[in-house]
Amino acid sequence: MTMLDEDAFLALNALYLKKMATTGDLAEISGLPCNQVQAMVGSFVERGWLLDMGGDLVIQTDGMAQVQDYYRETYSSLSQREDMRKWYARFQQINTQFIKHVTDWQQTEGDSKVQDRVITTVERLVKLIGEIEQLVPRYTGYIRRFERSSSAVDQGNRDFVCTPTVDSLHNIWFEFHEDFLAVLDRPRDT
Amino acid sequence: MNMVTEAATPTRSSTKWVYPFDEADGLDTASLGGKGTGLVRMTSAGLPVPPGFIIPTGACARCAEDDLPDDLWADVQQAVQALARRANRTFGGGPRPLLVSVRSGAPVSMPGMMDTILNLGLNEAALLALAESTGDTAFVADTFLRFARMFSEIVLGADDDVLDAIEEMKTDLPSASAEKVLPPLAAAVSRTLTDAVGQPFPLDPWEQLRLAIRAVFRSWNSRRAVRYRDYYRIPHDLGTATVVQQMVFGNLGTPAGTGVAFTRDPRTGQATLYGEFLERGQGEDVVAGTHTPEPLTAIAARYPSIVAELGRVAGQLEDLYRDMLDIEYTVEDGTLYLLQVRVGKRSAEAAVRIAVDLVDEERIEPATAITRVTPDQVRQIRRPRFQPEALEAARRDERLLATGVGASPGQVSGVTVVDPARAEQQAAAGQPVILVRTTTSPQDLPGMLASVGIVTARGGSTSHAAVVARALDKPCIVGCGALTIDASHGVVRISGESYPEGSELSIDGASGQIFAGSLATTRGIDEIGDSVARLLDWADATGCEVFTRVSTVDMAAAAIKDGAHGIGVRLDEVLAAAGRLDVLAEVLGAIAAGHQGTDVHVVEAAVTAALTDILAALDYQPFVVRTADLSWERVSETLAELTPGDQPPPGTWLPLGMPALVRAQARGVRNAVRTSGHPGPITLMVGGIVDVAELSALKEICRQEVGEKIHVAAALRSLRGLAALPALAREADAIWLDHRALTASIYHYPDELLVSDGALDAYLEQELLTADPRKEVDDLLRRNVPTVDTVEWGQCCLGVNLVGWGFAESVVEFYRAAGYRRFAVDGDGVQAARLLIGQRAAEADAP
Repeated sequence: MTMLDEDAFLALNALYLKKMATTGDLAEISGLPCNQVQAMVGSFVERGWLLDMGGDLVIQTDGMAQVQDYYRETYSSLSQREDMRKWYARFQQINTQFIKHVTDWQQTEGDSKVQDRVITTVERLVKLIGEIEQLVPRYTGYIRRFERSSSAVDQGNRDFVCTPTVDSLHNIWFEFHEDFLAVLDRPRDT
Repeated sequence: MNMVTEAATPTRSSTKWVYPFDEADGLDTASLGGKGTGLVRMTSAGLPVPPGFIIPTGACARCAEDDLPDDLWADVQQAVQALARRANRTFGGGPRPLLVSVRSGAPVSMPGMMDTILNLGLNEAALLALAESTGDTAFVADTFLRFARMFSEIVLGADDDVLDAIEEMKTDLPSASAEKVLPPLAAAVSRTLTDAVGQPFPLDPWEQLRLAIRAVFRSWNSRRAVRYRDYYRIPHDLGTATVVQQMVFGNLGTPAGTGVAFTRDPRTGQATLYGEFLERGQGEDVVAGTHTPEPLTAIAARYPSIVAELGRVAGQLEDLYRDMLDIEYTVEDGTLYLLQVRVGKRSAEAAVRIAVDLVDEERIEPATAITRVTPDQVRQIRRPRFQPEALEAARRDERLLATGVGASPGQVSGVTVVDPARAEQQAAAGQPVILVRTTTSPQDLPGMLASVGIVTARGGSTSHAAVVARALDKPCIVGCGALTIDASHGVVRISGESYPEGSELSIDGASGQIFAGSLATTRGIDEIGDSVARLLDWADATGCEVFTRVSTVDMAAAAIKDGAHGIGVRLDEVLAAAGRLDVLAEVLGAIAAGHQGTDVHVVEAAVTAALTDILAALDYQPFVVRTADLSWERVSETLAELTPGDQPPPGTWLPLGMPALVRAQARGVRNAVRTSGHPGPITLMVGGIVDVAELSALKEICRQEVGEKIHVAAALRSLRGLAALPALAREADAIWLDHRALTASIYHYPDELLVSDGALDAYLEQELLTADPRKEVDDLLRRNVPTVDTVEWGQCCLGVNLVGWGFAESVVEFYRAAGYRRFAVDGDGVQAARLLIGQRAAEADAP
């Protein structure tokens, strides 16, 4: 079985992390043109990697295996590196802060000071991702999404803090975390 | 917001760069910024605000680019010295050191601006002096580290690790004399900073102040702030002001402490001072929750004069701001100081009560009161919660099964389902579902969306389930350890007992309690219904009217209770609700099958029967009866069961294409009016009319079948109809614009599908459409909707029908601005719509 090419991985990985999404979501997240993603989705469906339930795409076991193979093949050299482990330790610190800020934000009904902290923490992560961008170049995609959603929040669109049905900061963060754990080949501790 | 652009722009020669709070009365918000204006206003009202000064926005342009101009800096130094003299303190020394806070304050608040730096002014001498005067070395160390952390982060741009390192210094402080603790601590901070950012931490207070002020002005040009201004087209030369203010301490002298108070109870809205006080604490302690403050009621016994003073100040503040306020305050050596005052957050019920009370107290006008409550708060008040008696009984009967962590408030009953997919199915079948899971993941989202409540066995208040439930505004309990889930058998076990899927449970998402069985509910509106009614009456006074569409007697009664100004029905819906749609279908089927002389009297009889009860429940309300929509798409589903494969009878798609059926319906209406004793007149409306000739024909039908006592109306569904509106209006008694159908016709989308949002949402996400036709009024429609001219159109009432489509604010605003004053909305939105439409009208009428 041949490994996915990078574009196919980007699209399928978006679904792997989201579990359920539309073709539009996948294009938005992967940054690939809509028609290209549409064509790929068609071939994924044919191969049984994903299921199309009237526009909502759901990843299947074979599709998940494809994504996991790609992670293993591409990042096996990274997963053992000491600097990556150290980086993850730093990530975990701000991860704790981020989750706390989001919770505070919800419990203070979107207090503007807390909202500022949420965005500052996102800016810190963006900076941190910058440090490993050379090792995982596709992570620029997360930076792009974080910046777009931060702007939306600043413009008063508060759904982009943590509403699960849009590309909110909380969603992006959650997906990035899952993605990085997959790169490190670590199971997520729940 | 005041956006006057004549800011005081100090020029190099004349120049006053600095304005103490008590000398800035003549300047406006454009100069002083929002924060500064508030402080100046409170100072001039004689309220106890710690003294300070403002560097106005006019200084921003120069200071953001370069260093601070020499003459500005000289003025700042002078102002600080004046502060010190006035407070009998010394900046950067003992015996009583002066500390200040530095904050930004733009005329328009925006993200990305520098936040507050507190406790600025600490050097070695000041540290030791402060330790001496407070007798508390640990407090002084803490004060310094707080300052160091904020300064390093905001001014020096230090990273997390540096900040964490500073934070950690708190934990390894030796318990020794001030001389042995504080100077080494300052040196350690400086070392850490030098290593990290290559710049020592400034221990000269003047240098601290200079850098902090410069950082405020520079933050005006931070990426986030610039991006924000670009987006909202806020001029980049507006600039920010800088506010420098004396710090006060809640641990100096006796009594001393700090707290937060609301001028009214934010939970209920009752007009009593509500808040707490932490004796011998600093502001951050209360916010951080590290110490437990006492309620003001307890403090009143110990320090009656403080609470009395706070009450007096609260009254003064309410006079000034004409709203309920949230006050951060500190008492230093027996003197009360206000640190921050802002409009207080409140529950939905409190919002209504406060708005109405403030009118009764003559603090605000009714037109202002209606802007103090959001349509969403009106919806919240309508949400059910457990009846207190039912809850008490459940506790007494030991139906409390377990308690988890309350993660998202709300009280609901429902049936347990342990599988998200089944949750969707059950919900689709009309069951209120409580989804019970060990934990949730993004995969469970569709099931969570379908459920009325969510319970998880594991996870805390920051878990995925908690965050998502709060975002979805659904009651949620997490981390309920007493609960195990046996997914393969669909069984939930709670403390040993088994509950198979489908068992009734009730959950309280605030307290985390789970009860067996379902509990009777009540709504906030049942308690403060009178206040809501008064508020909405004020909203109505702006001249707008809200109609709604019903199909049963119960719906009609609820609509009247919610204050609907008029009621509408559509006959196909009324027949469907009465279980008589088959009559219509049979008749159409017979006509389609070519049966000559089909008897349409059954339709007349069915309409009479279905309408009579509804009409009897009504009183004086205007009543609009819309004839059944006979278009094939709408009725073919029912017909298909009866006569598969039939072609539609010709003419069903034309408004008057089947006159016999229109006549039968008109007679049914006539009979119902007679039997019910409704005073009339009522209006008979037909949808899709485009020509005056159609309207004349309809009037003739009504005259023949009903007599004079009926009004005739048309609902417009196409651009053709809109074009005919002025002519139609001269003939009709009323005209309604079907906004959704009009939009659908422009796009040539099927009207009904426009609301099944899934498909269109996906389409919008792919950016195949630039605007969401549901949220914005299409350009083509904007150009074709005539502005209402009451003179020309005489007696004809014009309305906009938004039923089946929620009400987007921009849509309401468009029609309102075009002169339309009558809107029809879905039943559950009547009250929220009355408020929203009243608010928009009040805003437009404001001078």
